[in-house]
Amino acid sequence: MARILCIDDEAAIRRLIVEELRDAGHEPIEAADGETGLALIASQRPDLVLCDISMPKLDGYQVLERMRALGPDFRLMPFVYLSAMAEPRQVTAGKRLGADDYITKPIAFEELVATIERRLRR
Amino acid sequence: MWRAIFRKKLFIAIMTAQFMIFAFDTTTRADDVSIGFLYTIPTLMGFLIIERGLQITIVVLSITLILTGCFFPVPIETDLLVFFANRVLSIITVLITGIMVNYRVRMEQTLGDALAKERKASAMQRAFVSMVSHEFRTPLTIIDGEAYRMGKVKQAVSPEDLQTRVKSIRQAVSRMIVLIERILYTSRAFDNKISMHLERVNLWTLLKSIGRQHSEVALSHQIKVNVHDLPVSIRADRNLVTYILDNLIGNAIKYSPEGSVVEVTGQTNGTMAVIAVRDQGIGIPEADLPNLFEPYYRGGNVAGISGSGVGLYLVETFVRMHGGRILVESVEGQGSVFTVQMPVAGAEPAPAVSTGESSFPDKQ
Repeated sequence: MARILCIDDEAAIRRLIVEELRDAGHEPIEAADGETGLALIASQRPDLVLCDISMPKLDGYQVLERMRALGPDFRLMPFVYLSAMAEPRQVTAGKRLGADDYITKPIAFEELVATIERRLRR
Repeated sequence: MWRAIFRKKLFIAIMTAQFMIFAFDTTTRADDVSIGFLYTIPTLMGFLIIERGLQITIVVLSITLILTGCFFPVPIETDLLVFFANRVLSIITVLITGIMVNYRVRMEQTLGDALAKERKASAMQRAFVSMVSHEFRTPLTIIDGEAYRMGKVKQAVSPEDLQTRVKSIRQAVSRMIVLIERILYTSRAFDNKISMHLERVNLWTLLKSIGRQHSEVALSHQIKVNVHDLPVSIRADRNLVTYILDNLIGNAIKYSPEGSVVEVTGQTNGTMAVIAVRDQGIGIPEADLPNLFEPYYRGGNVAGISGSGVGLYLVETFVRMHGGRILVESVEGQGSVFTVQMPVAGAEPAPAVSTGESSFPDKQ
């Protein structure tokens, strides 16, 4: 069981992911925007962060950058992007920024948990 | 910009003076061939810069001056043949070079314009493809996700749960339909193929009902609609007017924080119905204001707020089709006011206006 933070501004998508993670036996926490997400990263120290990119207030790029700057504990925290920006250059940009994985929307739900768990084992 | 205008004016002044001196010289001192040609080069350079109308004026003026010179007594020591040959040669040189340079400049301009247009079109095409890809993925994620989750459940689903999912799917579908409609209408608007069906539209009822619809969805916003100073009805296309008002009120909600007020007010200004939609939202950066109604253009401060980039383009097009206009006032970080002015009596009859069935489908 792992504590997984899901940051996405679409409530319906957040609900789906939370349900799926709970089914898989994890403990999901959620945030509706980047600012709240970053605060939860610092206070809850999740085992993995699932983060959307296009969000109001703080976008996914800024969340990752600021998270890595929080301290040594956060430098290796698994971070997975979950975005509708699916063009190859956007995926590359996300990975170059230091994301461990980049899942594009529509999400292949069958693979979501597998990807997360593979990342958690490392 | 002012410097450029000043430089251009100065150049035209110098150039005109030179051309006059040139004309005068060839008239009075025609024996000295070199003086006549001395002015040819700066004069021709000037031709590159100035407008066509001015070029013609200067040439006509100069020719008149030279021809007038013919009636003055020719200096005694001048060979008459040299005098006229020089004069004619000068005029012909100026004219031919001027025409050639002019032609070239115009060709370059045409080519440049065509290239710029093409570049803009292809940039717009890219923006469109990227927008479609991005904006469709989110509702698709929801539909696919709900279907996947429902396929996975093992025990009986509660009616409440089912209702939540059905609602979520239907919302995602209607999001996609709105997007498809906008794409279709944008492409029709590009080709000027949107037709209008003018009828009496009750503005009061329409505004109140649009306001109510938005209030039901945007529970955290306070939407105030005050229609009392508006004409009760105007002659317009019902669907297009609905789109205009729905889009402006929707934008006001979308781009303003929860708990803020969206205010719709109206007044009658002569023959115009004036409707203003005011929000306390993120506002529009000054740099974006001139391009706000361009298709696929979105403000620099909308990151993370989904949108097709064609809503305001269509609003402006529809307002213009009705013979009205739209104005924006905005301070970034404080809010925006969109003001629509529409003629109460309807659009002036224009060839583009057909009386056929309105092509804009009713909103669900």
